[in-house]
Amino acid sequence: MNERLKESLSALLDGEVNELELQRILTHENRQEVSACWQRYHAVKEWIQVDSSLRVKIDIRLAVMDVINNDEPPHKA
Amino acid sequence: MESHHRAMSSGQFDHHSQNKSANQLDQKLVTRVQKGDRTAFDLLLVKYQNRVASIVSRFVDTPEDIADVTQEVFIRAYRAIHSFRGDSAFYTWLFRIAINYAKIFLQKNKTRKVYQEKEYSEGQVKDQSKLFNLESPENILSRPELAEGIENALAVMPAELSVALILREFDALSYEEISKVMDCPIDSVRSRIFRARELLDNTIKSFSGC
Repeated sequence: MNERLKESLSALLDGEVNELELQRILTHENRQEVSACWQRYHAVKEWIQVDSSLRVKIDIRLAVMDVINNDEPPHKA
Repeated sequence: MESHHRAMSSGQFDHHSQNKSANQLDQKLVTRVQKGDRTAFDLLLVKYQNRVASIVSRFVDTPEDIADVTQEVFIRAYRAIHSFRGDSAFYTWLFRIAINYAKIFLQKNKTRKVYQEKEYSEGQVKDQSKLFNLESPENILSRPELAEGIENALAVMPAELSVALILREFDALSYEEISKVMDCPIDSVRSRIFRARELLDNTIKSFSGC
């Protein structure tokens, strides 16, 4: 499977391909290879979306509001 | 070109629907802020602080720097709120400020993350692959060692790749929205996300022996 097709597969994962690309993916001669790559991409996608350690948790609210409350209201340019 | 990137998956339409209603709420809050309502900005701050910090963390390392940069991003956004005209989503505008300021911070402090992509992909992971047998990706990803490997891969890959991927996976932004945030063509977004996935895929393959 060449890089171009893998890039199409990646875009398909995001719903960002056209009909022609979809056809190229679905008619590729090595279905097993396409399926294996698709499976791995999905596994990574799901892992990233549920893994909380990649999401930074922060609380800067008080610090920011302290600055803003001492600021002049923003003016139109 | 636009039709080239037309959405096809049902999942994305769900995200678009969610983003659309979020946009409408954000726009209402921004309008209030522009009229001088600081409480409305407080709501936007709470809503987006973790998402902005997650983007910033792709550029800077320490928790202190992440907090400082994220704080400055929101202060800058507040002071520039009148320049937001609602042509795009508020978060698109905010995330762009975040990326631009994170880059400025890096230039000022000369603390750019050191990327060791080659060393990482050819060293650490390959050695660990000897520990594992061929398994399905789902099963493999339940292994803490691989989870750590993927986190490391994300940490050491160029920020332009990991940010594009995070904007897609965490924030469900379309390629078009990501191109606005990152100020690059849509094709570059597509390529960056693919390259990020490939680096992570190589990690999985190393562990599974594929």
